[in-house]
Parts: sequence; structure tokens; C-alpha cells
Amino acid sequence: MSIQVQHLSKQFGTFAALQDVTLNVPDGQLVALLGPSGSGKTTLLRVIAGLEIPDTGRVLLGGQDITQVGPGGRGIGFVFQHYALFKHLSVFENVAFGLKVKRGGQRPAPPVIRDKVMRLLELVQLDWAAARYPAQLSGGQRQRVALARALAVEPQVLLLDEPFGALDASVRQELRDWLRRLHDEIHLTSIFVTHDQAEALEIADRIVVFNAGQIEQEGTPEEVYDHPATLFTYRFLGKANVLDRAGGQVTLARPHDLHLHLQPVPGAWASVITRIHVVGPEARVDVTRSDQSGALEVYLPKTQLGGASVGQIVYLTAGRQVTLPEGE
Amino acid sequence: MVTLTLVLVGLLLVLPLLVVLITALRSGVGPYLQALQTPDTLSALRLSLLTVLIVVPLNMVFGVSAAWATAKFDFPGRSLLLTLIDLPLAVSPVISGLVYVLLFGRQGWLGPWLEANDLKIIFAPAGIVLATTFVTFAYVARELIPVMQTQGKDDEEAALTLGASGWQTFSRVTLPNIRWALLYGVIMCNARALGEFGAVSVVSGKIRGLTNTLPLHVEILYNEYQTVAAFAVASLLALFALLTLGLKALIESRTGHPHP
Amino acid sequence: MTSRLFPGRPARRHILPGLNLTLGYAVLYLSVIVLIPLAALVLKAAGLGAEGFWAAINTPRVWSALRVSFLTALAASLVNLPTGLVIAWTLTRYRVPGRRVVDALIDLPFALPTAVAGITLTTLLSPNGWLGAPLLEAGLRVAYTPLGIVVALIFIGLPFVVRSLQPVLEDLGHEPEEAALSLGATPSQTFARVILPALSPALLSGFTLALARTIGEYGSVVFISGNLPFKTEIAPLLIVGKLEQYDYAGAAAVAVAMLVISVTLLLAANGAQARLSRRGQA
Ligand SMILES: Nc1ncnc2c1ncn2[C@@H]1O[C@H](COP(=O)(O)OP(=O)(O)O)[C@@H](O)[C@H]1O
Ligand SMILES: [Mg+2]
Repeated sequence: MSIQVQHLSKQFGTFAALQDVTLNVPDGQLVALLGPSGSGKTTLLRVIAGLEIPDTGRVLLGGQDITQVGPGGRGIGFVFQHYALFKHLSVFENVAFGLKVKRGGQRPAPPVIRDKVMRLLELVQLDWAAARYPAQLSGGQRQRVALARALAVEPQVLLLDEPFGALDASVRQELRDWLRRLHDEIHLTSIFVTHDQAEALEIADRIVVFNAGQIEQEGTPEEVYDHPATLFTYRFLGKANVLDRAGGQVTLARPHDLHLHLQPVPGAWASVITRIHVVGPEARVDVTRSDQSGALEVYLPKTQLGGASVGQIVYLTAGRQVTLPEGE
Repeated sequence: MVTLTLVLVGLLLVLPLLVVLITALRSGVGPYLQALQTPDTLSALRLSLLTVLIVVPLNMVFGVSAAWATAKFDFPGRSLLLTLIDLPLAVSPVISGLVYVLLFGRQGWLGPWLEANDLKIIFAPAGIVLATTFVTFAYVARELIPVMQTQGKDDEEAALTLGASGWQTFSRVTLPNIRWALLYGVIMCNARALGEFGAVSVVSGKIRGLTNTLPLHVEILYNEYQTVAAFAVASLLALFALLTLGLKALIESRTGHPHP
Repeated sequence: MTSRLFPGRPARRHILPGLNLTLGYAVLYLSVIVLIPLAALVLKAAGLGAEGFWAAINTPRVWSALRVSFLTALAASLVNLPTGLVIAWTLTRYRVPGRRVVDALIDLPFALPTAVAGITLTTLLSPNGWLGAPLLEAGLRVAYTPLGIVVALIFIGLPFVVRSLQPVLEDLGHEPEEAALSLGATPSQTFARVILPALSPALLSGFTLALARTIGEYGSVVFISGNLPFKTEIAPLLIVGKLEQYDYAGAAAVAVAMLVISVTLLLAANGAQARLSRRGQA
């Protein structure tokens, strides 16, 4: 089900957490809301879920205005940043909660609830932990219980607030791939919040870059990465090397798009290597141009280092460059 | 250090308990049991229990309401409300009784109206209930507010997104989260309500068999030099106190906190 | 500036339900049980007029009763500082057998009805009591003197000090102490310069709570004090006395004076404690 957000604004006291935010999420997509901490991502998610009342603007689900509908009536699953699992209930009871609070004839019979909960627990690979309590689970396991709990009421839309934020690096990677597969398996429209660009670029169909309560840019990962609309987006999506500033414009290049030559090349900048360090198969070389102060970072395969050493003069050329207006 | 502590605790806490027990049993088990079974003692026990049965639920409902409003919401005047809730703790028990005498006594603001309608609050069980309510007013609220505040709103919001109604959210999520703190507050409220003396003595009139609570009865017996009887009744109250301490310790060991 | 999209519908202000109900009930209950009765007290005293109020307060007997209440509460709370510290220290630092029982017993003064405490301490300390007799022989009269009042108030106030100190001592752990010792401080220097400053907010808060509770204490005191005007008559007892003589306005005046003293004390101590704990965090 598509999600539409129109001209949303939300103030906390005098602080504007959301300013005229308009966003369309087509049916079936997995969208990443990417932005620095405090930029209003959680607030936007909470407004969509009905947990926060916007000052102005509308939220539409499948074309229907739900701005005035309470959080329970929207058909939205919400996974909280810190999971918000019910500590006094077992994993099974947590997942069954949304089914058991259904009123009257809508509440499934106990055996139906049982089957459904167990199927969901299998889906999140936690059927063995049904009788456990949240305190007895690891962070990644809790995250999956929270997900199963949100899915139990068959939402059309799934919202996840920093779903991998509190997890170890290895668990993060695993859960990330798994979420992508899950999203494709069950037909859902999902928005997840993250401040990690790698995460967003890796699994999202679309990325919405958020800054200071406003949408900075929106597009597919390629669009956003290769054609950043603003300096902010460019910087937020990866390491940025400033090559030139002129007339209010900045020219930038990513570390992978800079090339080192041991011999002079036409149009190259003479530079000196200030630092080399090797990260796995990749060499990261800091150089300082003779006509510019400040270090530039160059990434290249370790095998192409060719015996370069610190203090050596090299010649720097740039492949892909982007020129953007200055001022974020 | 340990020895010093044991001496201090022994002198200040254990010795008084022993005095109660030994004085109560000074003339043997027979007189002890007899003192506990006089009609006056039994009626005092009845009034004390009745008072507790009214006061504790009242302050419990208030405590839960006040905690829900102040811990889950922000509104203008919230910190003033929090201060006012603690106010009765700073008021001398005697004053807690006095305020009701000034309000409902024969010369009080509402005294003439009450008399005209043949209603009696002061020198009647109603006054005892009111004075006890005042003294134990904050006992449940004070336990619940900090606990609910640290728990935040996430659990309740999660329940709402899952389709729970307001009442379902409260009864299935909030209540289980605060159950130990609630029980703790209720136990302390109960102990104080059962043992309140100053406030109750001002409003009771100490009419035997009618407006005497157990602590007031202890005083009367003691002042009449019925020492054994006084301490027999006192031993009953001391037993309640020890029971309270036991329950309190049990809750603390269940929750792993000095205060849940 | 917040334009409403649905002018016909009232905008919900909170997502969680129940604010109006619970806040309304809490304020109503607070008003009925606490605020209106206290207002009745203040109005009664105000009915005397400024001069009448002053005349009701400014008698030697009232001053003496207020002094006795205040000084005995102060003395007892001061005694409870070292006493409470020793007990809290032992309970947090030593894993002795029976610790749990002692820990539970600390709250006995909370749980034991004050009248029971009163008659028990009186029996114990009266001239022919278990402790009273030997003390009298040693030349020390406890029951029916201000000292008796202080003893009763020490009993009442003790848990406040112990319970304020315990969590702070738990948090403090051994490290600051060991660090100071490793830097060459003597044990007494360590105590005076490292431990005591860290404990001072908790000590102050325990002291204040004990003082606030004991200054108006009645049940445990009336039996042991002997109730001699100008000597061992406490302010709450004076109020009761005035009530028995149907001097309602006089009782209200003394009560208001007491209220002012205890509320001022609490506010002052809260301020001081806030300053101390800020310094502790810096
Ligand atoms: N309930 C609230 N009251 C006051 N300020 C808030 C509240 N919720 C969020 N904020 C403020 O709004 C801003 C955006 O917050 P949030 O949406 O949580 O950002 P993000 O999730 O991007 O880190 C922050 O500066 C935060 O302090
Ligand atoms: Mg956030």
C-alpha cells in the first residue's frame, strides 16, 4: 500500500522538527530514511504511525487520508528503536498481543492465534524461543521478535526505526540481508530509518535524505549516490574530497575516483604522499596537493600501490567529479 | 564497625520489639489472649481494618491516576502538582487531623450544615478515614511516579500500534510493568494507615467501641495502667509491622532493587 | 500558525489516552483531601487578623513548644547522621550473615505504629525500666525529659538517613577510596576528603527527611515526654491541648506556624541539596 505524506510540519516548542515534508512511497517499496541524528527521522516515522500529531499536513495510506486515525486503526506495523518488547510477556505472548487485543468477533480463536504466532516465529527463525522472555534474548533476537510482533496484525505498511542501530557489526549485516529478503517475500511497503549510508545504499529501493527537518533529496541509491543534488547529500553519502572552489561552486570527488600516477601526466596535480594505510585489500593514501592545503584521500587496490611511499611526489588526476553550489 | 552496627540495631530496633513481646506475656499466655479478645479490642480491630480497607484502595486509585498523568504526559502545572502531592508528608499528623476538625467539626466551616443534616464526620469513623487518607495520601503515588517515569511511553505506544484500546494498554502493559512498585506502595500505605495515631486521635474523640482504632486503644489501655493489655494489643500491631517488613524484603529481592 | 485541516473536528493533543480523566481525578482528589482542608486551616488562622495571629503565637508557652519540637528534632537528626552512616556502611560494605534481616529491620520505625513505639520506649527508659533504671543510677534521666524526646525521634528518623545513604554507598564502590589510599592518603584523610564529600548530598537529604518527619512527630513522643509545659511540651501536643479547650483559632495559628517552619526547612534544604549534588557531578 502506498504511503503519501503531504506538507507535514511538526514543532516541539519553538523547535521545528519537521518542515513542510512531502513524500511519496510507491506500493511495495523498501525506502530508507537517511539523515544525521536529530534531523527528524523518528518524528516523521512517528507521525506516519499516528504516534505524533502533526501541526499541519496530511498522511495518506493507499490514497486514503488517515491523519485523524489513531495508531491502532492505521494498519501500520511499527518497530521501535529499542524494540519496546513487553518484558512481562513471553516471546509467544508478545507476538500474540496484537491478535489477543482484537475486539469481539475480530479476535481469532486461540488455536488460530497459536498457528499464526508459530508461523511468524518460524519466519523470524525464533520458533525455538517461544517460551522465553525478552530478557533472555540477544539484541538481534529481540529485534526479530519485535518484527514478528508488528507483522502479526498483518499491517500493509511496516515502519522500522533504526532497526539495526543497537546491534553488533556482524549481526547487523546478517539482519540487513534478511530484512531485504523478508520484505520481498511478504508483500509490504516499508520505511526504515538509518543514519548509516552503507545500510541505506545496500538494501533500499529508494533513499530519502533528510536534513534539519526537511527532505534534502529523494531517489534510487544510484541516483542519490551518483547525482547528489546538494553538498549535504554528497558529503553525507560518503567521503568527499574538495578539488576546487570557485564562484560559489565546489568541485568534489570520491576517494575511489581519484587516481595516482608516479610519472607526470598532463593536467595532473603534483602532490606529496603524507600517509598510507592498508585496510584489507584496499590502500588508503592521504596526499597533499602542492597548490592546495589539506589532505585528500585516495582509495585504490593494494596491488596498484606500486611501491609508493610516504614523502614521495605523485601526480593526481580525477575521474568522476561533481560540481555543486556551495552552502549546505 | 560490624559490632557497632549490631549494638546500634540491637538497642534501637531489636530491644523495643523484645520489650513489646515480654511485657505482653508478662502475666502468661492466658491474660495475653484474654486482652486480645475483649469486645473493645475487637471493635478497635474492626474499625482499624475497615479504615484500611477504605483508605488503601482510595489512595491506590489516586496514586495510579496521578502517576499516569504526570509520568506519561507533560502539561502546564505538572511540577506544581508533583510538589503538592508530596505536601502531606511535610504536615504533622496532628495538623492532618486538625484540618478536618476545622472543616467538619461543630465549630467548623461545614459543621452547622452537617449538624442540620444529621451527619457526623468528626468523632465518627468518617473522620478517622479522612485523617488517615490525608496522612497516607502520597504513599502509593510516590512509589509509582518515578517508576513510571523511567519506563517511558514506548511500551504503551507499541501496544497502541498493535491495536490495543486505552484500557487494554493500561491493564495489559502498564499495570504489569508497575506491579511491584504498586504492591510496595500499597504495603507501606497499609502499614501507615493501620498504625496512624496522631491524626486519628485528633478526630476520633476516642469513644470506646465506636471510634477507637487499635493504636488509640493501645493508648487508652496504657494510660489506664493496663500494661499487659496495652502491650498485648501493641504486639498485634508489631506483628503486622514485621509482616510488612517481610513482604517488603520479599518484593525487594524479587525486583533486585531497594525500591522497585 | 498551526492551521487546522479539519476545522470541524477537535484536534487530539495526545496519542496516549486518559490524560483528562486521570489528571482530573488526581486534581479533584488532591483538592478534596489535601488542599481544601489546608485552606480551611489557613483561613481559620487568617480569621484572627495579623495582630490576633501574632498574639496567639507570641506567648511563652507557644515559643517554648516550638523550640522544644525544633531543637529535639534537630538533635535527633544530627545524632542520626553518624548512626545512620555506620549502619549503612556496614550493610553495604560487609557481607555478614544476617545482613538481610538487619536490612529489613531498618524500616521497623516506618512500619511500627508510633503509639507502639511510644509506649515501648517509655517502658524501656522509665525510671524502673530495663535501660531506664541503670541509666538513672548513672545519673541520667531519660524518660519525661527532653532527652527522652530525642531518643524517640532518633528511633523515628533513623531509617530516613540509612535509606538515603545506602544507594549512594552502593554506587560509590571501593574505587575512590582505593585511589585515595594508593595516592598516599591516610584512612582518615581518605574519609574526610573523598568519602564524606561524595556522601554529603545523601547525608543532607537523609537529615532533611528525618528532620521534616520528626519535627511534627506526635505518637512516639507524647508517652515519653511527660508533657510538662515549658519543658517537654511539643508543638503538636500544644495544638491538641488548644483543641481540647475549644480554642480552634489558637490551634490553627500554631499549626500554621509549624507548617511555615517545616515547609521553609524543606525548601531550603532542597535548594542546598541541589547545589551540593551539582557540585558532586561537576
Ligand atoms: N517529544 C519531543 N519533545 C521535544 N523535542 C523533541 C521531541 N521528539 C523529538 N524532539 C526533537 O526533535 C528533533 C528531531 O528528533 P528525531 O525525530 O528523534 O530525530 P532523529 O530520529 O532524526 O535522530 C530532535 O532535535 C529532538 O530533540
Ligand atoms: Mg531517531
